Amino acid sequence: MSDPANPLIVQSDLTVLLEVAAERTPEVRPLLARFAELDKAPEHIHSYRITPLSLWNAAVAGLTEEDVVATLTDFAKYPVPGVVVREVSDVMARYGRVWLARIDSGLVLAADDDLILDELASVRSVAELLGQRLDRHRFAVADRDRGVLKQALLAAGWPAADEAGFESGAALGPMVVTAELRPYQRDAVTAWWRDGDPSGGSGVVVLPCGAGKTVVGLAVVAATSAHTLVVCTSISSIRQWIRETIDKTTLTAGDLGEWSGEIKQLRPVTFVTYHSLTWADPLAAADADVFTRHPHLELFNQVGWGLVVYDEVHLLPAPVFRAAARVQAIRRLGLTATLVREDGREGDIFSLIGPKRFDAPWSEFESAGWIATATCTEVRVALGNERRAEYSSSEPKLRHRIAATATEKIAVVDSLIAAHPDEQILVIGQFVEQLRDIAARIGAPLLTGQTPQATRERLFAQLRAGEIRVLVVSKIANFSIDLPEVSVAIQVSGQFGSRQEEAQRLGRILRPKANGGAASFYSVIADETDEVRFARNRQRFLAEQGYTYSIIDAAVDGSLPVR
Amino acid sequence: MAAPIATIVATGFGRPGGRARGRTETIAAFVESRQGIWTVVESAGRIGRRLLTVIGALGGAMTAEQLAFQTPGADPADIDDAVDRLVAAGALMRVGRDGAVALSPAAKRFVAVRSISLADQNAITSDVLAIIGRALGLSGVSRKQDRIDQIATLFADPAGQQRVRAALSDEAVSLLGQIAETAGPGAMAPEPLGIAGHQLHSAEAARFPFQRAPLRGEVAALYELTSRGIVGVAGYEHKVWIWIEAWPLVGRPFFTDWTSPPCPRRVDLDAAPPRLPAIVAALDRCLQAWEINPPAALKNRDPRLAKPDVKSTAKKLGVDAATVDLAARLAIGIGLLRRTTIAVSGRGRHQQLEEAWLGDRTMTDAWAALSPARRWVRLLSAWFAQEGADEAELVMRQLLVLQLSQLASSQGYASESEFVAWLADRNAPLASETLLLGALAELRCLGIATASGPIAMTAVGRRGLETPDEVAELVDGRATSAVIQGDLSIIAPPDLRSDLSLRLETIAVPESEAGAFVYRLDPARITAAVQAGATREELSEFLASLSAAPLPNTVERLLRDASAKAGTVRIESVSTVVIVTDPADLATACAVAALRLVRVADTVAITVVSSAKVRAALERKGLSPQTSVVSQSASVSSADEAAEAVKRAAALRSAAPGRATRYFEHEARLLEAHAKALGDVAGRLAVQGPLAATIDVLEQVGTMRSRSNSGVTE
Repeated sequence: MSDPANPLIVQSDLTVLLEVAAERTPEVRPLLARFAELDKAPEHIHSYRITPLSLWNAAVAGLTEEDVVATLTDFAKYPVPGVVVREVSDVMARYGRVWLARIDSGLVLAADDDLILDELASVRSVAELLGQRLDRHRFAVADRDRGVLKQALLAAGWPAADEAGFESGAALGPMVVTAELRPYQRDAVTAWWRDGDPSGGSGVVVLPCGAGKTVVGLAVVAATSAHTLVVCTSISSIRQWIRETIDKTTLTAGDLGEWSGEIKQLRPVTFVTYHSLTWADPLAAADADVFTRHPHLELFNQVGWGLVVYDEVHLLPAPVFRAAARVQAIRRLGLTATLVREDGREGDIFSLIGPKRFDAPWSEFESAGWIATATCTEVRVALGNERRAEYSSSEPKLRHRIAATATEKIAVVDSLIAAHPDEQILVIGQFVEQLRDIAARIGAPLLTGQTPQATRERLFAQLRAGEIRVLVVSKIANFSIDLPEVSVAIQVSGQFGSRQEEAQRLGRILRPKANGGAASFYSVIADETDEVRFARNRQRFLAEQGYTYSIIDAAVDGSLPVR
Repeated sequence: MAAPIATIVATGFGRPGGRARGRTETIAAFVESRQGIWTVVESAGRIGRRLLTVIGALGGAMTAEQLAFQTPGADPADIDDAVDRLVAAGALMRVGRDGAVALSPAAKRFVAVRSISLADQNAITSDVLAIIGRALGLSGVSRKQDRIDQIATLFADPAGQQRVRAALSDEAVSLLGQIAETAGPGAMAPEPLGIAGHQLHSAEAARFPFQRAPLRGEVAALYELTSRGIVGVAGYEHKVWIWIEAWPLVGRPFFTDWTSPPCPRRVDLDAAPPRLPAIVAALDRCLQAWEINPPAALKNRDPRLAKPDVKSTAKKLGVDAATVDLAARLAIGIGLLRRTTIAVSGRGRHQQLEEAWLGDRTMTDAWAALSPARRWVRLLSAWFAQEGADEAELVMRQLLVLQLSQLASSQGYASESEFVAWLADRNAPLASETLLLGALAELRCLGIATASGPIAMTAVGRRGLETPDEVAELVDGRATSAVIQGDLSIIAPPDLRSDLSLRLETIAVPESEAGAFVYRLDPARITAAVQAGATREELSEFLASLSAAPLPNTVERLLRDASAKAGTVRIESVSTVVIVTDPADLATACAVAALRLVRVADTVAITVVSSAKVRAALERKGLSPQTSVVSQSASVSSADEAAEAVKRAAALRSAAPGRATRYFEHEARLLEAHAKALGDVAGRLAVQGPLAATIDVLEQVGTMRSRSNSGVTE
């Protein structure tokens, strides 16, 4: 019953506010996470959203509307609005009224209420995916349309329970994860696998960078025990996965294959980049099938895959979306730190890869020591008069570049490096010329997209080994690079307020440090320019994730205030 | 059952303190007055109007049998309801114990008796009646009235009816049916019958010898009817009608369509927590925006803002244009904005005044000192008695409030269109769907009715209309603190004190009010607040006092960044001077070629382009210019003006020479009265008694009705 001491405020717009400091918060958080999506997690009040998708996912997991309403009512500060109860009831009642099942002749869409099928048959986007009507309660469906049909049914407001099951794939042979799983990693694997039940086996796990997503992925491979295709963001990332697999499982190098521009190996566990998969055949017709236009996507159709792992699933490019829709019979796992896409296609990820199976506020990982404690600091630097005048009189398109590459920032970088004499530092930027200047000034190696792969590997290895202290990198280091002892990141320029980029760059320094030290993330911003506005976007995102964010002013000579 | 609209109008169109408010006797007197009866007739609804027309056409009275005959297919409940409303209105209609209905003699003059009789003055000549008589086989009388009586008797006699009908051709019978269907007991133009206007002369009952050419088609059929005294035509007036004496022959009622829109569906609503309506915050923000950039006054002197100003304010504030428009009209009505001359150009008859709506300092200070609940109540009273509004609009407002107040507090009308169609039909022709929709939108905007979804009166609305002094108890929460977070969000409990929530809205955008309040601090709003007079320190202090924890560094920085933007660019009107504090801003401004800015110093540039255009262009460039009013006299304060008027009155008296004394004394008194009006700030902001006239009228109407039902009407 409602009690002012309770932690939840249930809003009539279906958002739920959770008071972090309330006594019953630890009790309600896991219950709430079953049917609501964590939206923001700033320092005092976290905000969850109840969406049709989150309710349907809850229904998949076996939750009833009574369970949902009871959780809300029992933990609410104020009475739960009637509209919320009605909405929960209406939405959850729709799940499972139609279902996908496999019969001898193939896949069927079925419903007890034939009027629902009549209604769906009148929805164009659904109708074009339905085959012959077998009887009043069933339509035949082509296997290849399974994913797209689920998307269409979701959009039509009748989410289908997918009971068609998965192909088990070729057996992998004995595989054990030798590393000890942390409790949350075990929870994530359990939430995804669901004891091999068809209601599990697909979905996304959201964990902060450095919290061990790779290990979760390997544990899922072990649970599935089938031939696996792992899709990664870059060759460096592939190599990192291979290193981790050898290090943390009983699999050997002979079990692992790399499918990239350099090597084409097809092994029980094969790693491939999004880039290789989406290579477009220049001779293919514009209106050709996605597999014809992107011939490497055929890799999905290789017989035997029992699992596809999408690393950094938020980056899933459009052709892979379409291919993923075609391979719905294979179990699939999405891994990400930031399930935000600036193009707003998170919904597609949910329907094609599966529901979000695990998520928790980053601050909780931080307080438990699973990731390093990070402080975010925005350093404002004033532009000199000349540059300011140049900035003011330029076209808006050029302004961002002028502000981002301001030479005044270099002195600040010097000061920041000097402020962390014993730590490994990454200087990250968007513009290569600016990075070249900085690298020359501080005498640090520079790593950009033009750097050969071998050099990249060598530089990363040197950094890991502590042979170099400072590395200047372009955006190529945004993703999937494991540099555990780097504890300082200095961001000198970036995209226009991209939240995803911010989270990924921060992720580079979140691996827990051997000495248990904290991580420092700096953004150097040209004051009184558009950068301030863009930075506000990113600032908001990081604050919503629960990070401490502060803003300081650098002096004209680049020196920093004593803190 | 709703009371007739007359009872609303009885209260003086709802103006607070207006005439005839309060006592049953006064209302009764009003509805018996000419204006009262006119109002009842004009708002009787479609069914009511038809009833009145039918009774009027039948000479002012109708038996129960006639009533049943004349209302075919009608739902008896609709008829009873319409009759009941007309009876409850007082002197308009009386219902006998046998079910007969009759118009009162006074009412007959106001009911448009649309039927046309052979006995009407100048309707027909005795000679023509004689011709008709011969055509019908009647003879032997020579007086005009006797001839009319003879024809009417024939038409009323079933045997006579049969004889006349038998003599008519099929075309004539068909044409008669068409006229009856279209015109009822009234008249119609001939064209819908397929007859041109000029052909009416050929169809008159008395035709000249040279017109004896054979007639064809519809004209021939029409002549058949006119020559038998069934139908009349007026060639010069372009009209065709059925004589009232011939209606028994037609054998059908005047009107056949007696259906009315169904009662709008009612739905149960969740109890929403009482909230101070958003219009109060919207008005505060508008006043703030207009303080920075005063909107131009319309040259036609309408007490409102020009559409472009409404749109630009709405866009700037992120509020919808209808709210801004309403806020402006109310602010002007209350006297918060005053039309002020800000520039004069030309001389003599070529002189041109540039006027703008400037905030009256005396009034705005007094307004700011009022509690938020009191401000809202004052807005309501201003709305119900808005200067410059059409009286029909004011009636619609009262009508809607009346209708909604009769719903149970937990119920609402499901569909706006259904509700409006039903109400318009019920109060036609005075009420129209367009007027009702407009009033309803404003009702929602003011917070009297629910903002969206089913239409119902809000708890705050009900309280405001019944006992305005007690609104504060309902909306003023007790909470004085909120959670301010590093992501610039502010989360406040649902019972946050309304003055705090109002102040928050000047610097933060509300993101959710669906229970707890969720705001997001907004740089543009902070800049505007600082431009309107707040200081960064004040804002910081306010947020610090509101926050249960120390203010996050990001909030402090945002206040610093956003307030630094305020006033860094100023625009002087007349020859538009742009003054900046940062030369870089001037570079930005000068880069806009269309402004033709000429740099006269590092921080000053001038141009011949109007200040409004310069402002718009600079805003597009991301600057936040503030327009200054050049003329010192443009600073408006009613207290200053009142004091000045008193001084001038005193001067007039002391300087009055001999014979001019009386004239000067008169002028001095006028000035003093003006000063008194200006100085009476408390009076201008005061609200007394129930705001909607209808609320307390309802009980009185009930009393009147019970009296009428207990046999007062015979």
